[in-house]
Amino acid sequence: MKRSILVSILIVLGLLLMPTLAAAEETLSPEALEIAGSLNCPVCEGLSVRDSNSQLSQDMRAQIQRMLDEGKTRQEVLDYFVERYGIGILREPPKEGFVLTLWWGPVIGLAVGVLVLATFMVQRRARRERPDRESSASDDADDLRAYEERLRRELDRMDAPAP
Amino acid sequence: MAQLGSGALVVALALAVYGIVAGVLGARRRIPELVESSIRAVWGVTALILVAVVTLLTAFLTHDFRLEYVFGRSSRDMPIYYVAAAFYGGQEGSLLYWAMIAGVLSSLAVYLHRKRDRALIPYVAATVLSVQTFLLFMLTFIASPFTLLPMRPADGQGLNPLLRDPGMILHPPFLLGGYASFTVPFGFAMAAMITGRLGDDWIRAIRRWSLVAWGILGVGLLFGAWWAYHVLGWGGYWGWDPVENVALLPWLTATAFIHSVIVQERRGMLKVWNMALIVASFALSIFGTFTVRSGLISSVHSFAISPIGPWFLGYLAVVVLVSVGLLIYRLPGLQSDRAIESVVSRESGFLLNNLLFTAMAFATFWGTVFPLVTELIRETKLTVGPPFYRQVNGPLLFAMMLLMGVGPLLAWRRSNTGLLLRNLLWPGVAGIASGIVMAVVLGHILAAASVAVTVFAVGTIVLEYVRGARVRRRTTRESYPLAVAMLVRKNGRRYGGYIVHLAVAIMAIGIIGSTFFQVERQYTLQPGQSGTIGPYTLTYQRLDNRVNAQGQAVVAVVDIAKNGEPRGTVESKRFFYRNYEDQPTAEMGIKTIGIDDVYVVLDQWDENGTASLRFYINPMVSWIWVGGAVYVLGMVTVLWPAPQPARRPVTRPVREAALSEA
Repeated sequence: MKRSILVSILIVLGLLLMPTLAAAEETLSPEALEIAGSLNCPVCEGLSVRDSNSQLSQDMRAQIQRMLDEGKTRQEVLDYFVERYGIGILREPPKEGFVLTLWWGPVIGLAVGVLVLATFMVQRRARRERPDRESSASDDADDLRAYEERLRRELDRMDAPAP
Repeated sequence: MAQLGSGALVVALALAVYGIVAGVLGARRRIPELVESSIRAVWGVTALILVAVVTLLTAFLTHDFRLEYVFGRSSRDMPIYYVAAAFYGGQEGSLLYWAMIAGVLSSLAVYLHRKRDRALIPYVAATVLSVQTFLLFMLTFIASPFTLLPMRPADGQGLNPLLRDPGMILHPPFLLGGYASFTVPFGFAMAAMITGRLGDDWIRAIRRWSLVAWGILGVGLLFGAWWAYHVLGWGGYWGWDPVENVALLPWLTATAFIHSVIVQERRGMLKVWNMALIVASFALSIFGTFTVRSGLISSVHSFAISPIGPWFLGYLAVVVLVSVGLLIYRLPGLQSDRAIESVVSRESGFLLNNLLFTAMAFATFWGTVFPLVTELIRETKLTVGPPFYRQVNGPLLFAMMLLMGVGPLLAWRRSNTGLLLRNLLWPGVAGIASGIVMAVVLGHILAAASVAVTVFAVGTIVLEYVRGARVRRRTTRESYPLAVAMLVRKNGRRYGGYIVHLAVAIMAIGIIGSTFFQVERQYTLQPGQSGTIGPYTLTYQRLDNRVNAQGQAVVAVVDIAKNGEPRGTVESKRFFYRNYEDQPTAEMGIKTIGIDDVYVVLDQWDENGTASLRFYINPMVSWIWVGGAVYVLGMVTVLWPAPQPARRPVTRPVREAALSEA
């Protein structure tokens, strides 16, 4: 029983491999390369199917090309691989389900950052002890010279040796 | 030999522990002799680590294969420079290297600051020695590079093939060196928090040290990008690989710090924040070392996996707990001296800069650890690849460039809006004009907009130089070139910083070009056949089989012609090293023609010479390397000691007065 399963698996594998070897001689179209670039090589570490030299990736590249030649769309090809290898095969995780946490994480992080910053600024400004008595007149002068004057003062200050 | 090395490490470990005790006791009980002893312990530990380093290097160069580490990473047929580089080619050696850099820099820091920062120094010494204690413990008990084999093998196994590349001689030492350099700023931050001396002293002391760490780490990242571009064959230089990401994290927080520290120096604000950034940079450096060594996250770097991961995780937890605890304890002492006066001010510009950099660090961290989280919680394997980072970090980069254009023109405390807008006029016009031209020429709105903000940022930098030169000329009557040179010389921090901004802009052009306009074709060719890509015709000449001492190389020779005109030949190679035949590595065939890099990858081949080749056109990539050189130039300028002006004596009261004026 076991042996027959093994043999049949081997036969299926052989059948799977045979057309692939022939197809490996074919040029990959830019679209096939693009799809291969968006799939993760299942047996490598951190490489796409496009960039991996593993046997599996070579077969997968050929498979992609063959499916495209059969008239399948990009999405159909991707779906085919997702069905076989799971969602982890996609280098760009889908924006749906729990994976949305991934996509919204940075947005929420940024929003929190903006909120903290805004609170900080408002609070600090409210707590300002006294009006700005040192405000130099030249800063308000609507003149490029004012800018240069300010720059000169800043440069003078920086002429002091770095402590 | 091996006994000398491991003996030195054991003695160093004991000395480090003694130094911690001596430093803390000396400071608490006010015994200067003990403090001095603790300082000497820092030097002693470093000297002993150097003894171990020399021992290990000698073992490598004399091919002493009794040492398991030497046996596993070198062989007699390797060229001498790879034998020497194999020193940091494995986890034990790279830990020793980490300890060496941390030791040398902290010895130097303790030497330079021991007089002026007398109050901080005992705790600085204790902190850096506690880091050394951890490393030396690992090097002695968990991952010793001096473990002996029962007998002496005739030859070694050789270095991992991926590391046998010039880029790999340079990338790890700079990256690890950058990580290790954060030990010094961390030491001062901890000392400031422990002693409660939270004033300007520790900030002043670490300004340069944090710049050193930031600079070295940046160079390490650039060498990594260069290596990936030449070796990995995906046609790119940054793959958002987890290990690349974690190396980027401390660089991002350090970049945020070197900007926000200016606010603290000038305005006495952001004290908690700066402290947090320094601690975060150090903790992320530990995290980076830990990630590359643990194989925690699937990565192209996973050849470096080892069992020291849990130890690093434990140490990381201790570092974070202790420093966060101290930070909370010291919160009352870290109140700002002054308040933000206007939203349109240099201060808020820097705050926005910090928001963007931390947001990018967070997004990168989030994407890197997300697969780990989903695997734990949902038991789903997930890959977060480049598309995520492009979509999330792309807009952040865009905003950074925009801010880089506005920031330098903002005045401290409060900007006159009219004046600001007038100053922004010409850079803005230049940016918009170049954006329109690019949109017409390239027909790509996103790329055109990116070019526009980059040109805008460059415009501001140029304007800053012109203004600065004009201001100098008014008092000194120098010629313009001399005025610019003197400006950079006398205000290295400000104008060196602008050089780094310029470097970022140059790299941005390279990134825009290669991200939006990469072209790729794949051909299966017989010798003599050619494939076309864009205006280029690439003719596959032949497949060579070259044998050398280290192994053999399969080389595809490809002729390049542009619009029918021959433009030279490239060789795309695959190497099969002895003992590592199942791990072939590669060297891409790259030829820079004008703004394009023509990039040839040898994919597959068969015995009758048919080869499957992948061609890329990578526009503007060489600008990234030029930008990298400019980054180094800017970094050196910032760090170069300012000339001592004779007219102003260096007295603290003067400086205090100048600061309180601010």
